Amino acid sequence: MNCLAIDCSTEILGVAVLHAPDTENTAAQLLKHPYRQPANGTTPQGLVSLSIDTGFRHAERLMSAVDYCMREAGLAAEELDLLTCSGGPGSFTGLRIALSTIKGLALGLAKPFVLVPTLDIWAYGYQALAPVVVPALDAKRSQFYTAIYRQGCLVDGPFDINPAALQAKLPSDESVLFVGPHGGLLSRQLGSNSRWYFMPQTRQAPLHSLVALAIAGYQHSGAASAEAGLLYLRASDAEEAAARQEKAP
Amino acid sequence: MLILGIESSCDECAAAVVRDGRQILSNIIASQVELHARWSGVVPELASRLHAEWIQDVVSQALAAANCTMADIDGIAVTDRPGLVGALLVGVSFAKALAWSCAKPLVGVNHILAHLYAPLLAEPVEYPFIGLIVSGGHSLICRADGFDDIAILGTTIDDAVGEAFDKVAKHYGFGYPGGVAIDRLARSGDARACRFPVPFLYKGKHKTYDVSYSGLKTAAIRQLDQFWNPAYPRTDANLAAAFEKAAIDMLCGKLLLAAEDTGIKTIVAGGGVAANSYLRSVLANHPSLRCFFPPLALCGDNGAMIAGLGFRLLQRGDRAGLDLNASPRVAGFRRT
Repeated sequence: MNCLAIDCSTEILGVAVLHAPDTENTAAQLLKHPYRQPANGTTPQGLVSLSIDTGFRHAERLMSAVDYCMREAGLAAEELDLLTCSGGPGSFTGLRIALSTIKGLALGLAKPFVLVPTLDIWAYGYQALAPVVVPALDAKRSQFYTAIYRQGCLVDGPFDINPAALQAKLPSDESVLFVGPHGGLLSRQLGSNSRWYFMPQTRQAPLHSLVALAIAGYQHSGAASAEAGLLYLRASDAEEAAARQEKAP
Repeated sequence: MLILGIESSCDECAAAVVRDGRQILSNIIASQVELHARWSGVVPELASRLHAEWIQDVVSQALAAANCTMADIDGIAVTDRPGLVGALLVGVSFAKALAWSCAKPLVGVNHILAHLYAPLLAEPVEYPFIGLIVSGGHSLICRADGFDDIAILGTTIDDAVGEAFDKVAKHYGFGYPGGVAIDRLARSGDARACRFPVPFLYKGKHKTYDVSYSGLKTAAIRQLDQFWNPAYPRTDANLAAAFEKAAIDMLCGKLLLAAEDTGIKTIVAGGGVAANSYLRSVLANHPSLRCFFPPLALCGDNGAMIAGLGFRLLQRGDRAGLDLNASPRVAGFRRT
Protein backbone atom coordinates (compact mmCIF):
# COMPACT_ATOMS: atom_id res chain seq x y z
CA MET A 1 0.00 0.00 0.00
CA ASN A 2 1.49 3.32 -1.11
CA CYS A 3 0.69 6.03 1.42
CA LEU A 4 1.29 9.78 1.64
CA ALA A 5 1.31 11.21 5.18
CA ILE A 6 1.39 14.84 6.30
CA ASP A 7 1.88 16.31 9.75
CA CYS A 8 1.50 20.05 10.32
CA SER A 9 0.35 19.85 13.94
CA THR A 10 3.45 21.60 15.29
CA GLU A 11 5.97 24.09 13.97
CA ILE A 12 7.87 21.22 12.31
CA LEU A 13 6.42 20.28 8.95
CA GLY A 14 6.56 16.55 8.23
CA VAL A 15 5.84 14.63 5.03
CA ALA A 16 6.33 10.91 4.45
CA VAL A 17 5.69 8.64 1.51
CA LEU A 18 5.56 4.90 1.95
CA HIS A 19 6.29 3.06 -1.29
CA ALA A 20 5.21 -0.51 -0.70
CA PRO A 21 3.22 -1.57 -3.73
CA ASP A 22 3.29 -5.34 -3.37
CA THR A 23 1.17 -6.40 -0.46
CA GLU A 24 -0.14 -5.14 2.82
CA ASN A 25 2.42 -7.34 4.56
CA THR A 26 5.18 -5.57 2.68
CA ALA A 27 3.89 -2.27 3.98
CA ALA A 28 3.95 -3.55 7.55
CA GLN A 29 7.48 -4.88 7.14
CA LEU A 30 8.72 -1.67 5.58
CA LEU A 31 7.38 0.30 8.51
CA LYS A 32 9.42 -1.88 10.83
CA HIS A 33 12.52 -1.65 8.62
CA PRO A 34 12.10 1.54 6.60
CA TYR A 35 15.58 1.46 5.06
CA ARG A 36 15.27 -1.84 3.24
CA GLN A 37 17.37 -2.00 0.09
CA PRO A 38 15.48 -2.64 -3.15
CA ALA A 39 16.12 -5.87 -4.98
CA ASN A 40 18.23 -5.55 -8.09
CA GLY A 41 16.36 -4.03 -10.97
CA THR A 42 13.29 -3.09 -8.94
CA THR A 43 11.87 0.27 -8.02
CA PRO A 44 13.25 1.56 -4.73
CA GLN A 45 10.82 0.78 -1.96
CA GLY A 46 10.60 2.08 1.56
CA LEU A 47 9.67 5.14 3.57
CA VAL A 48 10.79 8.55 2.36
CA SER A 49 10.28 11.24 4.98
CA LEU A 50 11.14 14.89 5.23
CA SER A 51 10.96 17.23 8.22
CA ILE A 52 11.32 20.97 7.82
CA ASP A 53 12.06 22.89 10.99
CA THR A 54 11.88 26.50 9.89
CA GLY A 55 8.85 27.67 11.82
CA PHE A 56 5.27 28.08 10.69
CA ARG A 57 5.70 28.34 6.93
CA HIS A 58 3.76 25.17 6.20
CA ALA A 59 1.43 26.66 3.58
CA GLU A 60 4.37 27.74 1.42
CA ARG A 61 6.41 24.58 1.84
CA LEU A 62 4.02 21.67 2.12
CA MET A 63 3.32 20.92 -1.55
CA SER A 64 6.98 21.30 -2.50
CA ALA A 65 7.80 18.80 0.27
CA VAL A 66 5.11 16.42 -1.01
CA ASP A 67 6.45 16.74 -4.55
CA TYR A 68 10.00 16.05 -3.35
CA CYS A 69 9.07 12.99 -1.29
CA MET A 70 6.99 11.54 -4.12
CA ARG A 71 9.87 11.90 -6.56
CA GLU A 72 12.33 10.41 -4.08
CA ALA A 73 9.95 7.49 -3.53
CA GLY A 74 9.69 6.97 -7.29
CA LEU A 75 5.93 7.29 -7.20
CA ALA A 76 3.49 9.06 -9.50
CA ALA A 77 0.54 10.72 -7.77
CA GLU A 78 -1.97 8.25 -9.16
CA GLU A 79 0.02 5.35 -7.66
CA LEU A 80 -0.90 6.43 -4.13
CA ASP A 81 -3.41 4.18 -2.41
CA LEU A 82 -4.02 6.11 0.82
CA LEU A 83 -3.65 9.67 2.07
CA THR A 84 -3.41 10.70 5.69
CA CYS A 85 -2.65 13.56 8.03
CA SER A 86 -2.66 14.23 11.74
CA GLY A 87 -6.21 14.94 12.82
CA GLY A 88 -5.54 17.08 15.88
CA PRO A 89 -5.02 18.41 18.39
CA GLY A 90 -2.26 20.82 17.47
CA SER A 91 -1.75 24.11 15.68
CA PHE A 92 -5.21 25.05 14.40
CA THR A 93 -3.93 26.59 11.18
CA GLY A 94 -1.33 23.89 10.61
CA LEU A 95 -3.89 21.13 11.02
CA ARG A 96 -6.20 22.83 8.52
CA ILE A 97 -3.44 23.28 5.96
CA ALA A 98 -2.72 19.55 6.15
CA LEU A 99 -6.38 18.51 6.03
CA SER A 100 -7.21 20.86 3.14
CA THR A 101 -4.22 19.54 1.23
CA ILE A 102 -5.20 15.94 1.86
CA LYS A 103 -8.78 16.66 0.76
CA GLY A 104 -7.55 18.35 -2.43
CA LEU A 105 -5.39 15.32 -3.20
CA ALA A 106 -8.23 12.95 -2.36
CA LEU A 107 -10.57 14.67 -4.79
CA GLY A 108 -7.99 15.02 -7.54
CA LEU A 109 -6.80 11.42 -7.32
CA ALA A 110 -10.10 9.84 -6.26
CA LYS A 111 -8.26 8.17 -3.38
CA PRO A 112 -9.33 7.56 0.24
CA PHE A 113 -7.94 9.43 3.21
CA VAL A 114 -7.93 8.91 6.96
CA LEU A 115 -7.15 11.19 9.90
CA VAL A 116 -4.99 9.95 12.75
CA PRO A 117 -5.30 11.65 16.16
CA THR A 118 -2.08 13.58 16.80
CA LEU A 119 -1.57 12.19 20.30
CA ASP A 120 -1.91 8.61 19.01
CA ILE A 121 0.96 9.30 16.61
CA TRP A 122 3.21 10.52 19.42
CA ALA A 123 2.29 7.70 21.81
CA TYR A 124 2.58 4.87 19.27
CA GLY A 125 5.74 2.84 19.58
CA TYR A 126 6.50 3.61 23.21
CA GLN A 127 4.23 1.04 24.87
CA ALA A 128 7.15 -1.35 25.36
CA LEU A 129 9.11 1.24 27.35
CA ALA A 130 6.60 2.01 30.11
CA PRO A 131 3.15 0.82 31.17
CA VAL A 132 1.77 4.37 30.93
CA VAL A 133 2.66 6.74 28.10
CA VAL A 134 1.62 10.41 28.09
CA PRO A 135 2.26 12.43 24.91
CA ALA A 136 2.10 16.20 25.28
CA LEU A 137 1.83 19.22 23.01
CA ASP A 138 2.10 22.74 24.37
CA ALA A 139 -1.38 24.30 24.05
CA LYS A 140 -0.21 27.72 25.39
CA ARG A 141 -2.10 29.53 28.18
CA SER A 142 -0.32 27.14 30.62
CA GLN A 143 -2.25 24.20 29.17
CA PHE A 144 -1.23 21.03 27.34
CA TYR A 145 -2.92 18.83 24.79
CA THR A 146 -2.38 15.39 26.21
CA ALA A 147 -3.88 11.96 26.88
CA ILE A 148 -3.07 8.86 28.89
CA TYR A 149 -2.21 5.60 27.10
CA ARG A 150 -1.85 2.27 28.86
CA GLN A 151 -0.16 -0.54 26.94
CA GLY A 152 -0.81 1.20 23.68
CA CYS A 153 -4.48 1.95 24.31
CA LEU A 154 -6.01 5.33 25.02
CA VAL A 155 -7.49 5.12 28.54
CA ASP A 156 -8.14 8.78 29.41
CA GLY A 157 -8.41 11.97 27.38
CA PRO A 158 -7.56 13.58 25.12
CA PHE A 159 -7.45 16.74 27.21
CA ASP A 160 -6.72 20.43 26.95
CA ILE A 161 -5.53 20.55 30.53
CA ASN A 162 -3.20 22.29 32.97
CA PRO A 163 -0.38 20.28 34.61
CA ALA A 164 -1.95 20.25 38.08
CA ALA A 165 -5.22 18.81 36.79
CA LEU A 166 -3.35 16.21 34.75
CA GLN A 167 -1.25 15.22 37.77
CA ALA A 168 -4.38 14.19 39.62
CA LYS A 169 -5.17 11.72 36.83
CA LEU A 170 -1.74 10.05 36.67
CA PRO A 171 -0.84 6.90 38.60
CA SER A 172 1.80 7.59 41.24
CA ASP A 173 2.91 3.99 41.66
CA GLU A 174 3.66 3.11 38.05
CA SER A 175 6.25 4.25 35.54
CA VAL A 176 4.96 7.02 33.33
CA LEU A 177 6.78 8.03 30.17
CA PHE A 178 6.16 11.56 28.85
CA VAL A 179 6.71 11.81 25.10
CA GLY A 180 5.98 14.22 22.30
CA PRO A 181 7.40 17.62 21.46
CA HIS A 182 6.58 19.01 24.89
CA GLY A 183 6.68 15.89 27.06
CA GLY A 184 9.78 17.23 28.81
CA LEU A 185 8.17 20.62 29.40
CA LEU A 186 5.08 18.99 30.87
CA SER A 187 7.03 16.61 33.12
CA ARG A 188 9.06 19.52 34.51
CA GLN A 189 5.86 21.33 35.43
CA LEU A 190 4.51 18.35 37.35
CA GLY A 191 5.52 17.52 40.90
CA SER A 192 8.52 15.22 41.25
CA ASN A 193 8.02 11.47 41.07
CA SER A 194 10.91 9.08 40.69
CA ARG A 195 8.87 6.86 38.38
CA TRP A 196 8.10 9.56 35.83
CA TYR A 197 10.42 9.90 32.84
CA PHE A 198 10.44 11.84 29.61
CA MET A 199 11.86 11.17 26.17
CA PRO A 200 14.24 13.95 25.18
CA GLN A 201 14.72 15.20 21.62
CA THR A 202 11.34 14.23 20.25
CA ARG A 203 10.31 17.44 18.49
CA GLN A 204 9.93 15.76 15.10
CA ALA A 205 6.71 13.79 14.74
CA PRO A 206 7.31 10.05 14.22
CA LEU A 207 6.02 9.95 10.65
CA HIS A 208 6.41 6.17 10.38
CA SER A 209 3.89 5.94 13.24
CA LEU A 210 1.48 8.19 11.35
CA VAL A 211 1.76 5.93 8.30
CA ALA A 212 1.39 2.74 10.34
CA LEU A 213 -1.64 4.00 12.24
CA ALA A 214 -3.23 5.32 9.03
CA ILE A 215 -2.92 1.97 7.28
CA ALA A 216 -4.20 0.10 10.32
CA GLY A 217 -7.06 2.56 10.76
CA TYR A 218 -8.04 2.37 7.10
CA GLN A 219 -7.98 -1.42 7.12
CA HIS A 220 -10.05 -1.50 10.29
CA SER A 221 -12.56 1.33 9.76
CA GLY A 222 -12.31 2.44 6.15
CA ALA A 223 -11.85 5.94 4.78
CA ALA A 224 -12.87 9.23 6.35
CA SER A 225 -15.77 11.10 4.78
CA ALA A 226 -15.29 14.16 2.57
CA GLU A 227 -16.65 16.43 5.31
CA ALA A 228 -14.34 15.02 8.02
CA GLY A 229 -13.26 17.61 10.57
CA LEU A 230 -10.43 17.99 13.03
CA LEU A 231 -10.10 17.41 16.76
CA TYR A 232 -9.35 20.87 18.15
CA LEU A 233 -10.00 20.25 21.88
CA ARG A 234 -10.41 24.01 22.28
CA ALA A 235 -13.26 26.24 21.20
CA SER A 236 -12.73 29.50 19.33
CA ASP A 237 -12.16 32.63 21.43
CA ALA A 238 -15.67 33.84 20.58
CA GLU A 239 -17.23 30.60 21.81
CA GLU A 240 -15.14 30.64 24.98
CA ALA A 241 -16.14 34.25 25.69
CA ALA A 242 -19.80 33.39 25.13
CA ALA A 243 -19.51 30.39 27.46
CA ARG A 244 -17.93 32.59 30.16
CA GLN A 245 -20.73 35.12 29.79
CA GLU A 246 -23.36 32.41 30.15
CA LYS A 247 -21.69 31.16 33.32
CA ALA A 248 -21.36 34.63 34.83
CA PRO A 249 -24.05 35.44 37.43
CA MET B 1 -11.52 26.72 -21.56
CA LEU B 2 -13.15 25.48 -18.34
CA ILE B 3 -11.89 27.05 -15.12
CA LEU B 4 -12.67 25.84 -11.61
CA GLY B 5 -12.84 28.80 -9.20
CA ILE B 6 -12.46 28.33 -5.44
CA GLU B 7 -13.31 31.02 -2.88
CA SER B 8 -12.88 30.83 0.91
CA SER B 9 -11.79 34.32 1.96
CA CYS B 10 -14.51 34.96 4.53
CA ASP B 11 -17.69 33.12 5.44
CA GLU B 12 -18.77 31.70 2.09
CA CYS B 13 -17.25 28.39 1.01
CA ALA B 14 -17.73 28.53 -2.73
CA ALA B 15 -16.71 26.89 -5.97
CA ALA B 16 -17.79 27.32 -9.57
CA VAL B 17 -17.02 26.15 -13.07
CA VAL B 18 -16.95 28.89 -15.71
CA ARG B 19 -16.35 28.54 -19.45
CA ASP B 20 -14.12 31.12 -21.16
CA GLY B 21 -14.51 33.66 -18.37
CA ARG B 22 -18.19 34.25 -19.17
CA GLN B 23 -20.49 31.24 -19.09
CA ILE B 24 -21.27 30.02 -15.59
CA LEU B 25 -21.79 26.25 -15.67
CA SER B 26 -22.10 25.90 -11.90
CA ASN B 27 -21.88 28.18 -8.90
CA ILE B 28 -22.06 26.47 -5.51
CA ILE B 29 -22.06 28.68 -2.41
CA ALA B 30 -22.16 27.15 1.08
CA SER B 31 -22.91 30.08 3.34
CA GLN B 32 -21.95 30.17 7.00
CA VAL B 33 -24.23 33.13 7.72
CA GLU B 34 -26.53 31.22 10.06
CA LEU B 35 -23.58 29.93 12.07
CA HIS B 36 -22.08 33.39 12.55
CA ALA B 37 -25.42 35.09 13.27
CA ARG B 38 -25.06 34.34 16.97
CA TRP B 39 -22.08 36.72 17.07
CA SER B 40 -23.57 39.23 14.60
CA GLY B 41 -20.32 39.02 12.68
CA VAL B 42 -17.87 36.56 11.22
CA VAL B 43 -15.74 34.68 13.77
CA PRO B 44 -12.52 33.95 11.83
CA GLU B 45 -11.61 30.75 13.67
CA LEU B 46 -15.07 29.26 13.22
CA ALA B 47 -15.09 30.26 9.56
CA SER B 48 -11.77 28.51 8.99
CA ARG B 49 -12.96 25.36 10.74
CA LEU B 50 -16.08 25.13 8.61
CA HIS B 51 -14.20 25.78 5.36
CA ALA B 52 -11.87 22.86 6.15
CA GLU B 53 -14.88 20.59 6.65
CA TRP B 54 -16.92 21.77 3.67
CA ILE B 55 -14.47 22.47 0.90
CA GLN B 56 -14.20 19.03 -0.65
CA ASP B 57 -17.98 18.64 -0.85
CA VAL B 58 -18.43 22.14 -2.25
CA VAL B 59 -15.88 21.61 -5.03
CA SER B 60 -17.29 18.15 -5.79
CA GLN B 61 -20.78 19.66 -6.09
CA ALA B 62 -19.51 22.41 -8.38
CA LEU B 63 -17.97 19.82 -10.71
CA ALA B 64 -21.08 17.64 -10.62
CA ALA B 65 -23.43 20.57 -11.24
CA ALA B 66 -21.33 21.56 -14.26
CA ASN B 67 -21.56 17.96 -15.42
CA CYS B 68 -17.81 17.61 -15.63
CA THR B 69 -14.88 15.95 -13.90
CA MET B 70 -11.40 17.24 -13.11
CA ALA B 71 -10.28 15.74 -16.43
CA ASP B 72 -12.44 18.34 -18.21
CA ILE B 73 -11.04 21.28 -16.20
CA ASP B 74 -8.33 23.35 -17.92
CA GLY B 75 -7.19 25.38 -14.94
CA ILE B 76 -7.86 26.21 -11.30
CA ALA B 77 -8.21 29.69 -9.82
CA VAL B 78 -8.27 30.33 -6.10
CA THR B 79 -8.68 33.43 -3.96
CA ASP B 80 -5.30 34.04 -2.32
CA ARG B 81 -5.78 37.62 -1.06
CA PRO B 82 -7.15 39.61 0.75
CA GLY B 83 -9.31 38.10 3.48
CA LEU B 84 -9.21 36.13 6.71
CA VAL B 85 -5.89 34.38 6.42
CA GLY B 86 -6.97 31.17 8.16
CA ALA B 87 -9.96 30.89 5.84
CA LEU B 88 -7.92 31.74 2.74
CA LEU B 89 -5.36 29.07 3.60
CA VAL B 90 -8.00 26.36 3.37
CA GLY B 91 -8.87 27.26 -0.21
CA VAL B 92 -5.26 27.86 -1.24
CA SER B 93 -4.02 24.57 0.28
CA PHE B 94 -6.89 22.62 -1.25
CA ALA B 95 -6.44 24.21 -4.68
CA LYS B 96 -2.68 23.63 -4.75
CA ALA B 97 -3.11 19.96 -3.88
CA LEU B 98 -5.89 19.52 -6.43
CA ALA B 99 -3.89 21.25 -9.15
CA TRP B 100 -0.75 19.21 -8.39
CA SER B 101 -2.62 15.90 -8.29
CA CYS B 102 -4.32 16.55 -11.64
CA ALA B 103 -1.40 18.39 -13.27
CA LYS B 104 -3.57 21.45 -13.94
CA PRO B 105 -2.36 25.06 -14.04
CA LEU B 106 -3.17 27.13 -10.97
CA VAL B 107 -3.47 30.86 -10.46
CA GLY B 108 -4.06 32.97 -7.35
CA VAL B 109 -6.80 35.57 -7.64
CA ASN B 110 -7.20 38.92 -5.90
CA HIS B 111 -10.64 38.87 -4.28
CA ILE B 112 -11.19 42.61 -4.76
CA LEU B 113 -10.49 42.46 -8.48
CA ALA B 114 -12.74 39.44 -8.74
CA HIS B 115 -15.67 41.39 -7.25
CA LEU B 116 -15.12 43.98 -9.95
CA TYR B 117 -15.14 41.21 -12.55
CA ALA B 118 -18.48 39.78 -11.34
CA PRO B 119 -20.70 42.15 -13.41
CA LEU B 120 -18.62 41.29 -16.47
CA LEU B 121 -19.78 37.69 -16.18
CA ALA B 122 -23.25 38.90 -17.10
CA GLU B 123 -22.37 41.39 -19.85
CA PRO B 124 -19.22 42.85 -21.40
CA VAL B 125 -18.12 46.28 -20.19
CA GLU B 126 -15.40 48.30 -21.87
CA TYR B 127 -12.48 49.72 -19.93
CA PRO B 128 -11.84 52.18 -18.46
CA PHE B 129 -14.59 52.44 -15.89
CA ILE B 130 -15.00 53.65 -12.33
CA GLY B 131 -15.18 50.68 -10.01
CA LEU B 132 -17.06 50.63 -6.75
CA ILE B 133 -16.25 47.71 -4.45
CA VAL B 134 -18.40 47.74 -1.35
CA SER B 135 -18.75 44.97 1.21
CA GLY B 136 -18.26 44.13 4.85
CA GLY B 137 -14.52 44.34 4.39
CA HIS B 138 -14.01 46.89 1.63
CA SER B 139 -15.13 50.32 0.47
CA LEU B 140 -13.14 51.22 -2.62
CA ILE B 141 -13.60 53.68 -5.44
CA CYS B 142 -11.14 53.04 -8.24
CA ARG B 143 -10.36 53.62 -11.87
CA ALA B 144 -10.14 50.31 -13.74
CA ASP B 145 -8.09 50.21 -16.93
CA GLY B 146 -7.98 46.44 -17.23
CA PHE B 147 -9.07 43.29 -15.45
CA ASP B 148 -6.08 43.49 -13.11
CA ASP B 149 -5.11 47.14 -13.52
CA ILE B 150 -6.87 49.40 -11.08
CA ALA B 151 -5.85 52.64 -9.41
CA ILE B 152 -7.42 53.42 -6.07
CA LEU B 153 -9.13 56.81 -6.05
CA GLY B 154 -10.74 56.59 -2.63
CA THR B 155 -11.33 54.23 0.20
CA THR B 156 -12.68 54.27 3.72
CA ILE B 157 -10.44 55.78 6.35
CA ASP B 158 -12.05 53.65 9.07
CA ASP B 159 -14.94 51.17 8.84
CA ALA B 160 -16.08 49.55 5.61
CA VAL B 161 -19.63 50.46 4.62
CA GLY B 162 -20.90 46.91 5.11
CA GLU B 163 -19.22 46.81 8.51
CA ALA B 164 -21.14 49.95 9.53
CA PHE B 165 -24.40 48.33 8.41
CA ASP B 166 -23.56 45.22 10.44
CA LYS B 167 -22.64 47.14 13.59
CA VAL B 168 -25.74 49.35 13.54
CA ALA B 169 -27.95 46.34 12.86
CA LYS B 170 -26.29 44.44 15.70
CA HIS B 171 -26.78 47.30 18.14
CA TYR B 172 -30.49 47.60 17.38
CA GLY B 173 -31.08 43.87 16.96
CA PHE B 174 -32.20 44.20 13.34
CA GLY B 175 -30.69 40.87 12.35
CA TYR B 176 -27.66 39.50 10.56
CA PRO B 177 -26.28 40.17 8.01
CA GLY B 178 -26.91 43.81 8.83
CA GLY B 179 -26.92 45.07 5.26
CA VAL B 180 -29.75 42.79 4.22
CA ALA B 181 -31.73 43.51 7.42
CA ILE B 182 -31.41 47.29 7.12
CA ASP B 183 -32.23 47.27 3.40
CA ARG B 184 -35.39 45.27 4.10
CA LEU B 185 -36.48 47.48 6.99
CA ALA B 186 -35.69 50.68 5.09
CA ARG B 187 -38.23 49.89 2.39
CA SER B 188 -41.07 50.74 4.78
CA GLY B 189 -39.30 53.65 6.49
CA ASP B 190 -38.93 57.36 5.83
CA ALA B 191 -35.36 58.60 5.53
CA ARG B 192 -36.42 62.14 6.52
CA ALA B 193 -36.90 60.93 10.09
CA CYS B 194 -33.26 61.49 10.91
CA ARG B 195 -30.65 63.77 9.38
CA PHE B 196 -27.31 62.21 10.10
CA PRO B 197 -24.08 64.24 9.80
CA VAL B 198 -22.04 63.80 6.62
CA PRO B 199 -18.25 63.97 6.96
CA PHE B 200 -16.32 66.12 4.52
CA LEU B 201 -12.84 64.74 4.10
CA TYR B 202 -9.99 66.78 2.75
CA LYS B 203 -6.26 66.24 2.55
CA GLY B 204 -4.94 69.73 3.06
CA LYS B 205 -6.71 71.75 0.42
CA HIS B 206 -7.27 68.76 -1.84
CA LYS B 207 -10.56 67.00 -1.99
CA THR B 208 -10.43 63.25 -1.73
CA TYR B 209 -12.69 60.42 -2.76
CA ASP B 210 -12.28 58.82 0.66
CA VAL B 211 -15.24 58.00 2.87
CA SER B 212 -15.64 57.55 6.61
CA TYR B 213 -18.24 55.52 8.45
CA SER B 214 -17.18 55.63 12.08
CA GLY B 215 -18.88 59.00 12.69
CA LEU B 216 -22.11 57.90 11.05
CA LYS B 217 -22.04 54.65 12.99
CA THR B 218 -21.51 56.49 16.29
CA ALA B 219 -24.29 58.96 15.46
CA ALA B 220 -26.68 56.12 14.69
CA ILE B 221 -25.81 54.19 17.84
CA ARG B 222 -25.08 56.84 20.48
CA GLN B 223 -26.37 60.21 19.27
CA LEU B 224 -29.76 59.42 17.84
CA ASP B 225 -31.56 61.99 20.02
CA GLN B 226 -29.38 64.72 18.60
CA PHE B 227 -30.22 64.01 14.98
CA TRP B 228 -33.77 62.63 15.12
CA ASN B 229 -36.57 64.72 13.65
CA PRO B 230 -39.31 64.72 16.35
CA ALA B 231 -41.98 65.02 13.68
CA TYR B 232 -41.40 61.36 12.81
CA PRO B 233 -42.00 58.32 14.99
CA ARG B 234 -38.85 56.58 16.18
CA THR B 235 -39.33 53.26 14.44
CA ASP B 236 -36.82 50.69 13.29
CA ALA B 237 -37.92 51.25 9.71
CA ASN B 238 -37.38 55.01 9.88
CA LEU B 239 -33.97 54.57 11.51
CA ALA B 240 -32.96 51.98 8.90
CA ALA B 241 -34.10 54.21 6.03
CA ALA B 242 -32.26 57.26 7.39
CA PHE B 243 -29.08 55.34 8.10
CA GLU B 244 -29.11 53.62 4.73
CA LYS B 245 -29.63 56.89 2.90
CA ALA B 246 -26.81 58.62 4.76
CA ALA B 247 -24.39 55.73 4.23
CA ILE B 248 -25.16 55.23 0.55
CA ASP B 249 -25.40 58.94 -0.29
CA MET B 250 -21.90 59.45 1.12
CA LEU B 251 -20.60 56.73 -1.17
CA CYS B 252 -22.51 57.94 -4.21
CA GLY B 253 -21.35 61.51 -3.65
CA LYS B 254 -17.72 60.47 -3.85
CA LEU B 255 -18.41 58.14 -6.74
CA LEU B 256 -20.09 60.86 -8.78
CA LEU B 257 -17.26 63.23 -7.97
CA ALA B 258 -14.75 60.66 -9.24
CA ALA B 259 -16.78 60.15 -12.41
CA GLU B 260 -16.97 63.88 -12.99
CA ASP B 261 -13.26 64.49 -12.37
CA THR B 262 -12.06 61.59 -14.53
CA GLY B 263 -14.65 62.09 -17.24
CA ILE B 264 -15.47 58.37 -17.07
CA LYS B 265 -19.20 57.79 -17.19
CA THR B 266 -19.26 54.03 -16.78
CA ILE B 267 -19.65 52.67 -13.25
CA VAL B 268 -19.18 49.02 -12.31
CA ALA B 269 -20.18 47.96 -8.80
CA GLY B 270 -19.34 44.80 -6.92
CA GLY B 271 -19.39 43.31 -3.43
CA GLY B 272 -22.15 42.45 -1.00
CA VAL B 273 -23.35 46.05 -0.56
CA ALA B 274 -23.82 46.26 -4.35
CA ALA B 275 -26.99 44.27 -3.65
CA ASN B 276 -28.41 47.22 -1.68
CA SER B 277 -31.61 48.32 -3.37
CA TYR B 278 -31.20 52.02 -2.57
CA LEU B 279 -27.65 52.09 -4.02
CA ARG B 280 -28.88 50.35 -7.14
CA SER B 281 -31.79 52.75 -7.61
CA VAL B 282 -29.67 55.88 -7.10
CA LEU B 283 -27.04 54.82 -9.61
CA ALA B 284 -29.37 53.17 -12.11
CA ASN B 285 -31.52 56.32 -12.29
CA HIS B 286 -28.63 58.72 -12.73
CA PRO B 287 -29.15 60.46 -16.07
CA SER B 288 -25.55 60.63 -17.28
CA LEU B 289 -24.01 57.42 -15.98
CA ARG B 290 -24.06 53.87 -17.31
CA CYS B 291 -24.06 51.59 -14.28
CA PHE B 292 -23.40 47.87 -14.24
CA PHE B 293 -24.25 45.70 -11.26
CA PRO B 294 -23.63 42.00 -10.81
CA PRO B 295 -26.70 39.77 -10.63
CA LEU B 296 -27.77 39.49 -6.97
CA ALA B 297 -26.37 35.94 -6.76
CA LEU B 298 -22.92 37.28 -7.67
CA CYS B 299 -22.85 40.26 -5.30
CA GLY B 300 -21.60 38.27 -2.34
CA ASP B 301 -18.51 36.09 -2.36
CA ASN B 302 -18.68 33.37 -5.00
CA GLY B 303 -16.48 31.05 -7.00
CA ALA B 304 -17.75 32.21 -10.41
CA MET B 305 -16.06 35.60 -10.17
CA ILE B 306 -12.83 33.86 -9.14
CA ALA B 307 -13.05 31.49 -12.09
CA GLY B 308 -13.94 34.38 -14.41
CA LEU B 309 -10.96 36.50 -13.48
CA GLY B 310 -8.81 33.37 -13.18
CA PHE B 311 -9.56 32.63 -16.84
CA ARG B 312 -8.16 36.03 -17.87
CA LEU B 313 -5.04 35.52 -15.76
CA LEU B 314 -4.42 31.98 -16.99
CA GLN B 315 -5.05 33.03 -20.57
CA ARG B 316 -2.33 35.66 -20.14
CA GLY B 317 0.05 32.98 -18.90
CA ASP B 318 0.01 33.67 -15.17
CA ARG B 319 0.82 30.60 -13.08
CA ALA B 320 1.12 30.06 -9.34
CA GLY B 321 3.85 27.83 -7.98
CA LEU B 322 3.63 25.19 -5.26
CA ASP B 323 4.70 27.90 -2.80
CA LEU B 324 1.55 29.98 -3.34
CA ASN B 325 0.55 31.48 0.00
CA ALA B 326 -2.44 33.40 1.34
CA SER B 327 -2.27 37.05 2.31
CA PRO B 328 -4.73 38.95 4.49
CA ARG B 329 -3.95 42.20 2.68
CA VAL B 330 -3.30 43.42 -0.82
CA ALA B 331 -0.14 45.19 -1.78
CA GLY B 332 0.58 46.88 -5.03
CA PHE B 333 -2.58 48.77 -5.95
CA ARG B 334 -1.69 52.14 -7.40
CA ARG B 335 -3.15 55.07 -5.55
CA THR B 336 -3.73 58.25 -7.47
